Parts: sequence; C-alpha cells; structure tokens
Amino acid sequence: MAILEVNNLKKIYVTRFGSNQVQALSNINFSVEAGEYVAIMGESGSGKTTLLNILAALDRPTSGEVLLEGKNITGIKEKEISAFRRDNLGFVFQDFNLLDNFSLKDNIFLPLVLQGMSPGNMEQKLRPVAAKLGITEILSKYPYEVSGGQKQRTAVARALVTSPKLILADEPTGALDSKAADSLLKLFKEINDDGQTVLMVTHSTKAASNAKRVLFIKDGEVFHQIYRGTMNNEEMYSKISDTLTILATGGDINE
Amino acid sequence: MNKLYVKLMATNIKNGKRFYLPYILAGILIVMLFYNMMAIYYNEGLSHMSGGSDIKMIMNFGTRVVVIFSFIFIFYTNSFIMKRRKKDIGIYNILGMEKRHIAMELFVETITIAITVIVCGLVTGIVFDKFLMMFLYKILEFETSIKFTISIQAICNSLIVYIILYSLTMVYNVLQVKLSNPIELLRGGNVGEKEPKTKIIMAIAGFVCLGIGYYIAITTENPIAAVTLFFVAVVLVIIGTYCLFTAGSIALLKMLKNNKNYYYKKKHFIAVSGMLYRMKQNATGLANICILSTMVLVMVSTTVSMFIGEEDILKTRFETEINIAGYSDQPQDSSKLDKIVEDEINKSGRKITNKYGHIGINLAGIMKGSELDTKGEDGIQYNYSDITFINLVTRESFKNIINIDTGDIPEDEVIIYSNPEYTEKELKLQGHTFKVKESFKAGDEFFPVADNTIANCFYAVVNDYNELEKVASKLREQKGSDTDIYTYELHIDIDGTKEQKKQCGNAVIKAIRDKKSDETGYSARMVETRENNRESFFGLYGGLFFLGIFLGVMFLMITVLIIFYKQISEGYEDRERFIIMEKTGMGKKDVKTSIRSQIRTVFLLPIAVAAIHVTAAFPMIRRLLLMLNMANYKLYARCTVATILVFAVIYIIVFLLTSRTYYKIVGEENR
Repeated sequence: MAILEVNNLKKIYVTRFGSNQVQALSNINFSVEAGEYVAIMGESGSGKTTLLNILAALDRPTSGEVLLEGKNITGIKEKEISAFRRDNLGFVFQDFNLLDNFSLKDNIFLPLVLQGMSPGNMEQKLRPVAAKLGITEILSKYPYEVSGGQKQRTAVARALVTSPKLILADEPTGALDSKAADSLLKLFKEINDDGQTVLMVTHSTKAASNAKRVLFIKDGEVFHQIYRGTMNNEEMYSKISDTLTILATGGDINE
Repeated sequence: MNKLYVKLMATNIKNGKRFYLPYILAGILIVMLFYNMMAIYYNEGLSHMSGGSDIKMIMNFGTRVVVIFSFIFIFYTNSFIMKRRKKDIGIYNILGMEKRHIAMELFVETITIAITVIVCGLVTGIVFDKFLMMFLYKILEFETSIKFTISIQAICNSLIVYIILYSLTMVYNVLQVKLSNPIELLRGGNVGEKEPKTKIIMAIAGFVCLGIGYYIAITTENPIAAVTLFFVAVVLVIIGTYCLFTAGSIALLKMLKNNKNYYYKKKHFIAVSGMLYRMKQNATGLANICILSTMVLVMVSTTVSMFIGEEDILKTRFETEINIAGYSDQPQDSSKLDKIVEDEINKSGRKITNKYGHIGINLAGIMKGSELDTKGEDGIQYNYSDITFINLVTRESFKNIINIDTGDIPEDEVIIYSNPEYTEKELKLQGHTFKVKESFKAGDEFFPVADNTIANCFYAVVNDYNELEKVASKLREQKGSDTDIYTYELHIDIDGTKEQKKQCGNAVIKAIRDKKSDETGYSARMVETRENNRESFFGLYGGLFFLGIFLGVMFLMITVLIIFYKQISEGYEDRERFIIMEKTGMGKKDVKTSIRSQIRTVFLLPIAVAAIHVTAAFPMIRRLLLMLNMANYKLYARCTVATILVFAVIYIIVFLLTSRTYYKIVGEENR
C-alpha cells in the first residue's frame, strides 16, 4: 500500500514585486510504499528543498496533491497543521535543530509534551528508542556537551519517539564527519528494517546508496529512479555516481 | 594607515548605529546633566540667595550620584557593544590584522566616541544652563534676572571625570582584544549555554536580606532611628534584590522543573525552560532595572510630594503666620506682649485675621504607669519615641486652642485628650495626683502633626490657674523658684501679600527682640514667622525637587537604554529557538505567544518588584518625611501612586517600542 502519493505537484514562486515567476517544481509524481527507504537526489536548485517543504506541510504547492495514507495534506487548515505534522511526521535536519536550553532527554520529549502525554508514558516511549540509538547514557546532558553524531542521534530519537508514519530527513549527514555519518546511515537502515518508512533528501552519493530506491530530480521533475533490487551498497554507489554524471553532463538516459 | 582606522571606525559605527547611537546619545545626556549640576554648584549668583547654600549642598550630593551611575551605565553599555563586536574583530584578526592594529582601531573608536560625547555634552549643557537656571529659580520663586554664564570649573570637572571614565572603557576594550584568540572572537556570543546551578544559599540569603529590609522599613517607628536604619534597609533590599533575581528566580524555576507532572505540560515545558535560560542571561540586568526603577520612584515621589506639599509643610511647622512664645516663672498677664505685637502689626498696615493665645505648663518625661517621670535618671538615654509631652492647660486656654469647651472640671480632676486614648484612672504630675475625669481620643487637628508622631502628646485640661499652680509649686520646689514654668503661646494670622507679611514679620521680630524682659513680662521670648522662613524652606524642598526630577530623568533614561539593549540581545538569542520550535512541531502562533509572554514576564518583573519595594518603603519614608515636617502622608501616597503610574506607562511604552526592534531581529530571516 502506498503510504505517500505525490501527484502532479507544481510550485511556482512569485518574486516579491510580482514581476518574475520562478518554477521550482513543474510536475512531480511518485509514491512511497510503507516500509520503503527512499532517497531523493538532485543538484542545488533542482527543487529538492521545495519538495521536502511541501511534504512536510511547511509550504503549500501551487497545484497538485500530496496524499499521506490517502489524506490530502495540502488541504489541511493552518490551525491543524502543526498538530498534523507532530502526529504523523518525524523530522531529521542537517543542523540537528536541538534546543540549547533543553537536555537531550527534554529535546526528545518536546513533541510528546506538545501532544500532551503524561510523564510516565513519555519515559516508556523513550526507553526503547534511546536504547536503540545508543544514547541512554547521555540523556541528561545538554546539546553543547555532546558530539555532532550524538546530537544527530538525539534528533533521530526525537523524530522516532512519536512513532510517525513517515520520517523526513533533510541532508542528515551533512554536518557529520564520515565516521559519524556512516554510523547514522547504518542506523537509518536498521530503523527501516524495523518497518519505519524513511524519505531522505541528500546530496551525498554515499547516503543515497543506503536507500532502497533513489529518485533523481532535475528542473522540477522526477528525472530518473534507481531501485536497489539485489545490489549491494557498492554497486548502488557506482550506479548512482553514473547517473549523477549523466545528469550533470545533461545526456539522455537510455536504459 | 591612520586613514584606514578612521575608515574602519566610520563603517563600524555606521553599521552598528542601532547600538552606537543610543550609547552616544545617553553619554551626551549624562555629561550634560553632570555639567549642569556642577554649574549650579559653582554658580556665583546662587550664593547670594537665601536657600542657595542648601541647593549647592544638594547639587554636590547629586553630582556624586551621577558619577557613580555614569560609571555603571557606560561600562554596561560598552561591554554590551563589545560583545556584539567580537565577531568583527575575529574576522579582522583572521584577515591579517594584528592584535595591535585592532587595538589601535578600538583606540581610535573609543577616543572618537569619547570626544563626541564630551564635547556635545558640554555644549548642550552650556546651552541648557540658562534654561535650567530659569527653571530652578522658578521653583525657588527667586525673582532675579539670570545671566548667561559658562562655568570653567564645571567644565574642568566634567572633563576630568569623563576622560577618566572613557579611558577606563578603552583599557577594558583593548584588554578584551589582547586576552582573546580569533576563534573565540569569531564565535562571539555563541558559546554553549550551561544550565545554571541552583545557588540555594544565595537564594535564602536574598530572602533573608529582603525580609529584614522590609521588616526595618515597616516596623521602625522612631523617625530618628529611621534616618540611620533607612540606609541599612536600602542596602539590604539592594542585596536582596540582586540575590533573588540571580539565585532566587533560578532556584524557583529549578524547583518547578524537578516537579515532573508540572514541568512536562505543554504550557509549562516551554515557559519554565525558557525563563530559566532568560533569567540566567538577564538576572543582573533585570536587578539593575529594578533597583533603578525603585530609586526613580522613591526619589520622584518624595521630592514631588514635598514640593507640592511645601505650603502644608510650612503650615505644619508654623501654626500661624506669627508665632510667639513667652516663658515665665509665674502666670503672667499677657496684655503687654500682646499689645507690642498688635501695635507692630498695625504699624505695618496689616490686619489681624485670627488670633489666639494660651497659657500652660509643658512637661516632658517618661510615663511610668500613671506617673510622668521627668527626672531622667543619669546615664540612661531615653529613646526619643518613648518620651511623652504633656501640655497642662486651663479650660479657658484649651478652648482657645482647640475650640472645645469641656465644661466645669472639679478640683484635682483632669480631662485628657491623647492619641492613643489614655486609659489610667489617675495622672500623677510632679508628685501631684489628678483624678482622670474623662479621657478622649485626640484627632489629627489637635497637635502639630510632627510632634504627635515623634512622641506621645497629651492635652491635660484642668479647671483654672489654681490647679496649674499645684503643679507649678512642686516644680519650683524641685528646680528653684526662678525657673520658667509657664509658657504663653500667641498665634496670629494676618492679611496681605507674601511680601507684606514678610515685612510685618520682620518688624515684629525686631520689636520683640529689642524689648527688655520687664517691658514684655516674659523672661524669655521666641518669635517665628511663616513668611520669613519660606525661602529657606523653598531652597531645601525646591532644591530636592529639582534634584529629584534631574536624577529621575537620568535614571529613567538609563533604565530605558538597559531595556533597549536587553531586548536586542534577547532578540538575537531567540531567533534560532524560534525557528527550531516551529520545525519541531510547535505551531507558529504557539511559539509566538509563548515567547511573547516570556518576554513580557521578564520585563514586567523588575517594575512589579520595584512597586513592591516602594510600597514596603512607604511607612519608613513617611516617617522620614515627618522629620522634614512633611506630615501630609495622603499627599505623599497620591504622589507615589501617580509616580508609579506615570513610570509604568513610560516603561510600557518603551518596552513596546523596543519590542519592535526585538521582533524585527527575530523575524529577519525567519519569514
């Protein structure tokens, strides 16, 4: 069953004085099955961020629809949108977006508190997630006291703790060193193996090579996609590199 | 090379004008105020005026206050600006400027600002000097023309004080550069924020200090003790305020945070942690605002009430226009003295509009049960507030004073008017015992209020002179036959203008002073007139009022600037938090309302606490005002309330105006 369906998505930005129109997304169509791990790749300016913002209900499309479990999220009222996001989506950002004045634990609790959960239940929810991410020991620390990798794990924990339908990750390895990035990608894979649907936007071939499917966006359209099938990470990696080269040189793809 | 520094400085100041402009303007205003106070202090013309010396004394005191606060304030704003500048300095450093070059740049910058501030301050000061003198003379009701003067001494003093002050800031700035490395400088304010530690001892100390301060302020009955204790109370309250803002607030918030069921609620979660963070950053600044506000409120309300109440004060201090007292050993026929006074008044062409006189025996001592002990044991210092004054008068005199006819009073009996009501059955004076026929509670109109509050005052009314003589004879036995026992008081109101009254008063004073004892019938005489004392009163109260307004304006301005700078730094801190919270599932509206209410709490806290301080100080200040003959505490209460309201309105307007800067900063990259 498709958990996410994107149909004919179009987004046009109008510059402030209304004279210029910039088309960020021209016609995007794809769907994500439950339990999938999809990476979206594309150059700067290809419309990746716009797409993610629309999926995250942070921005509205000019036309087209985004269906999450069959419900059109582009039509949700402004008032309900925060709650919707909180209950259904989990976010992981490039720059972690942890609040400095909260301990790691409280950072993870933030969405639960906003949902109005009782402290006891929150602890129950936290325990398995923290154990899985290996951050149980450092929960009482503050963001400035831990490493980048640990911060990002905390951010992942925050995304997972609400058991969202879909995790949206925006360049999650962008601010990490290669070792921390590797271990984070491994983590994403494990989470996905547990049945969590993940959608990741990335520049990094390495990050994308972990996914089950990679979508390439160019000029506001889905240009191409690669399924992992039986490929291992290395094969996937070279396939993605090839595609990116073709994408960059502007050649056609004939497969 | 030099040109480069100037250029760099110019761009810096231009780019940072949002920070620099208020700093420079405030500096100019402070220098101006200092110059003006100094100029008044050195003013030649004022020395010749009556009351002028009081004003000079007050101004001298005022300049010290200005110096202290300009140091605090200029250092505070300077360090704020330096914090913001750190990043630029780091970039210069990385781009290849050596530290000495940067130090040079800061040197040029500080000198330029200092010169601008001092020169502009002195020029505006000189320009405003005449205007201020006119204002001062108006307050003091001096009617002389004012010459435009430039006080060289005042200029020198201002130069000395502010050159030292700005040199110190320069040393501080250069040291900042010397002691730092470029990476630190680049990161500037963005160093990780540790969660504040609970300083429980400090919090408790704050509570205790504040408690004792309040206790002293509320319970000190004795006005003389109040003068000394007032400063103790002020110091305690200041310490308490700092401790409570820094440690107390954090202890409280931590306590809330540790209560899981309270803390993990949508509303409290964000608010408690946000406030914790804010209080850590701002506690000292807020305590400063609070104390400055309290000072403004107390100063302005007291000086304004004294100024408005000047007439009342004069009336309290001087019962009527002309007040004469004559002392004698025997009851005297007062007609000789009365005639001298009346003749003088008639000669001056004035008419008597009100006249009353009374005779009595004034006794002072300690009440022991029903007996008044006037001996005063050797070596024992009586507390002034324990002393009881008894005015023993005849029925007829009492009728003259208070306009109450008690009716016949039997022999050896007495009627007592006092506050609180006298409860004993007898009154024993100098060994003679009177039976108390009746006792009444005396209203405010009975006594010159100042006396009444400083000590207990009684009117003990007896039927006639025979009764008075019973006590007088005992006194004569004890103190010798030629002691002045009886006091005759004559009170006269006259018509005419202030000037006419004054002339008449002078004539009466001279006449009585020139007469011999046997011509008046009294061995000792005293004359006081209201109008002849008016000027020295105006000098004191007008001077205080002037100073109150002056310092009030300065403190208010400093407060305003601290609020402004605080808002800006809050804005920079909050910008990121704003964005993160929105991304992690909090509605835009929720974020806004939450942060708005935190900001409001942070900024309203100091003024709320200041209002509480002022309220607690009320009883003590009321007593202090009594010492200055300001008895109209209702007027003082009204002035206090009005001052608080006006101040609150200004504060809120400033807060709202600066909030716009805050939202601009927060919203800049957010939208």
